[in-house]
Amino acid sequence: MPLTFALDGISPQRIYTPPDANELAQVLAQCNAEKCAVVPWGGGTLQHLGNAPSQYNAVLQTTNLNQVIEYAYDDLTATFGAGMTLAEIERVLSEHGQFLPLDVPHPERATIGGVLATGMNGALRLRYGPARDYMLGNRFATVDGQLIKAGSKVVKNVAGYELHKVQVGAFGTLGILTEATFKLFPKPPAEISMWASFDELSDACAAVGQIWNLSTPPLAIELLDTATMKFVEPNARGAYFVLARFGGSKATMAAARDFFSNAANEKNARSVNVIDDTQKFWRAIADLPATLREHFSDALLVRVSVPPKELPSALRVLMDFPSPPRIFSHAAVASIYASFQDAYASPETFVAQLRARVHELHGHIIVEHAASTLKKNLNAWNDVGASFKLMQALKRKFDPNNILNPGRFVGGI
Amino acid sequence: MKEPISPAVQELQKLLGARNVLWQPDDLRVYSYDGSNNMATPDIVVLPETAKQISSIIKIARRYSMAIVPRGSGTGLCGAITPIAGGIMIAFARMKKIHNIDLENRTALVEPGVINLDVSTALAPHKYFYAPDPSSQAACSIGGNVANNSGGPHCLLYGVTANHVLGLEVVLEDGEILWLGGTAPDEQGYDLVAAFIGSEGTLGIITKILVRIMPLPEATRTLLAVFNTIEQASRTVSGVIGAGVIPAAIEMIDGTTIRAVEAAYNIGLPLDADAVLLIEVDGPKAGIDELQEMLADFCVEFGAREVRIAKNEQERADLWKARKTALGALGRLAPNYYIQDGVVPRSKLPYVLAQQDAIAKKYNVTIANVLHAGDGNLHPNILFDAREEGAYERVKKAGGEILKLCVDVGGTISGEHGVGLEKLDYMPLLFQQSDLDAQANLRDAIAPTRILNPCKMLPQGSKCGEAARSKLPQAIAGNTEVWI
Repeated sequence: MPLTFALDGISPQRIYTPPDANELAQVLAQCNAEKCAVVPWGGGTLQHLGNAPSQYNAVLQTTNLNQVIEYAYDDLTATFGAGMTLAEIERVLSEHGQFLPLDVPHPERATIGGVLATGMNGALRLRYGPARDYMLGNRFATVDGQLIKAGSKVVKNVAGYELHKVQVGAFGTLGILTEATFKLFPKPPAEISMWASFDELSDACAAVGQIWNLSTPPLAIELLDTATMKFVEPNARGAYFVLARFGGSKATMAAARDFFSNAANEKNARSVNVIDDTQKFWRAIADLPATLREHFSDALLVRVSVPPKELPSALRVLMDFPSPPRIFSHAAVASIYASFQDAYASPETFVAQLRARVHELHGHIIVEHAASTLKKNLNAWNDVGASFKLMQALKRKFDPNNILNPGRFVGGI
Repeated sequence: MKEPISPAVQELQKLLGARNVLWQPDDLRVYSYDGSNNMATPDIVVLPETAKQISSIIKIARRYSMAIVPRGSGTGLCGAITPIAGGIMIAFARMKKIHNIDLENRTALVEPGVINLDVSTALAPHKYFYAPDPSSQAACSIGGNVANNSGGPHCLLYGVTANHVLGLEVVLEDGEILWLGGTAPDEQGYDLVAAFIGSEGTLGIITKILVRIMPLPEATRTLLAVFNTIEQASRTVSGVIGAGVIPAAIEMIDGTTIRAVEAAYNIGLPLDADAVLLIEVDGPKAGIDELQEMLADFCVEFGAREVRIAKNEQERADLWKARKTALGALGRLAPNYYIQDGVVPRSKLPYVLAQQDAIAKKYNVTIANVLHAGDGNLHPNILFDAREEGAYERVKKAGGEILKLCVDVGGTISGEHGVGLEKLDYMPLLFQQSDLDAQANLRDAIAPTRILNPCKMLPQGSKCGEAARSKLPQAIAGNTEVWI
């Protein structure tokens, strides 16, 4: 597939693929001088996120920043170039039995810079936190051509503002990440993954609560419906599925197995199963956001975030729509993906209605994907409220000419 | 003779009531200190109860061009709350409410003046806890923890304060009260909560904190390993971590500190040891004994001459007492100490500790080491007698060299205490001017007038720097109310 770098029907006139971080910063400075709007591009796996760019002249690829800059395996820290793919990082780290808990779609193409910039996470976030919790520092290029170092390379640091964390989830609108340093994790000596099926959503939700509270805390708890489970375990039967992943010593895993079964059975599980090929199973789950988008490209894909205790209510809100969506959820984190198939007569009204309902639950939604004809009328983001003026002030300081990914982030930033 | 009451005081008294506004020199003196060697007296201290009052206080301060300096419990170790430019100090002694404990969402909403340990105490009946545990946790406030992004022994497994704060209510320098973050994941827009944590009160005044709480682990095991050399102990630390075992905490205290602690508290530590490691693991009951055995074996393999295991909660508390009271005990060895807080990659600990010894010899000072060893976080305490001519200068020079050593091996100048005034001069060791300018951009986007805790965090021109240096007092005499 030839890369066109088109976004919402707009293609850039220029394509830059600088050989290193210094040159990337130089290109950025040049673009700034020419007021040429730049879209930073890693593997392109998450470029569907956010709104259409308000201006788009150049694409700036991080492809060549694909080196391991430093790997201190005995310190469990590593620094990677922003253009390194997650698959390559995984390969490097697994040689020492270590890993980064970033289980997002398409690891063979997704770059660490892109994953950080979009603030994406996967199922393992339950145990390991969002990326900003274990990212120790980074470097980013600014519009005036500087490479800024923020944070540090050691596991604790309070010298200076946490500027490196502000870059996470900022969609490249404050600067372009060129490298990032992480605290790494040892792979658990043993793992066990299980799933249980349920007829009732309420039972599945109750099981999530039980499993989250187990004395052997799970690394991940997912809740899937029958449509999304098809992509993970095609032969599974049931209306709703609760999946959990545990890691620790062998003895702990034996205990986890019993705990999970008991918790699920107590909540009327129809069946409880141990997963054989855990690798494949969790890969399929990590890929689900992309799988849904790619298989149902005409559907509306939203990500719903609510406080954990509102998970049952949020799922109820979603499933009570006249044509219920396909759903899957990082359940204990209460991040839900919902894919609405029906071409609603007025997607704007529909999204507004959904936003209002989720807002009542103290949550918010992101429109991740919509058919291209619809997307231009939909705001991917919520109104972020009173703190927006601080965000605008930050944006003005770091990108006064508004050339970094303009228009794609919250409030038109 | 009675001093006349200034118009600013009068306005504040009207707002807060006279008893909540301190302005007489005798009342102000106690607010001049933190746990470091810095001192400066505020012009006024206020004790508000609400964010609204704080908003009004800030507006009054701006009208009179006075600085605002927030103060939690004053246990800080870097002069972050030293009111170097005078002004109004906001003390949080009357903002100590735990508003809400929400077990289903695993959060607690607290006011900034709440004492760290009080959160875990309130959670204990529910079998939950708040993970960040600075050694000062019986005295320090959550607000201060957030402002400094505090650490503590158990950060090794659980992460620092930043990993446990989900939302903040803040008052900006224009008086606006704003809520940042929240319980739902993936808050949209820039991560302003991350920006405020560790910002030392320079971006806004924090008035409510939504913290993440966790279920208490089912089982805990605590080990004390005794070593004849500090090198064996530090090799054990990097050996354990390098082998992929992450205990809840690995703390180290060296021979000098052991002897001070023993003299003060008689805990039964071996006086001839050169270092002890305090290692704690927690988690599910299943497998915990195996984990404990594995760690004990590790210690022996790396040369421990003895491994003690706490048999019950009392013994565990005793072992931790050695660690948590260490700084206070050092008062027995010398009237003054100067603490550093550098961090190095764990594998560099043996090298750095040896180099640190060389620095101690060069400057003819004694260093007592207390380390969050698992995190590579050093707390060398340089002992001295401030009455001795030139001693403080010598100690500062030695401290500076230790920090440079930390940076040279890839580390940092502060792991958990903060920059405040103390580390201002060392920021350029770590950052180039362009890096510092970028950080200033962040500050100036949010708090451009710099009335909030001025002269902290970033070196900002000679005016602040000179003020900081000229106000350094004689060091405070040995004090048991201090923790690292």
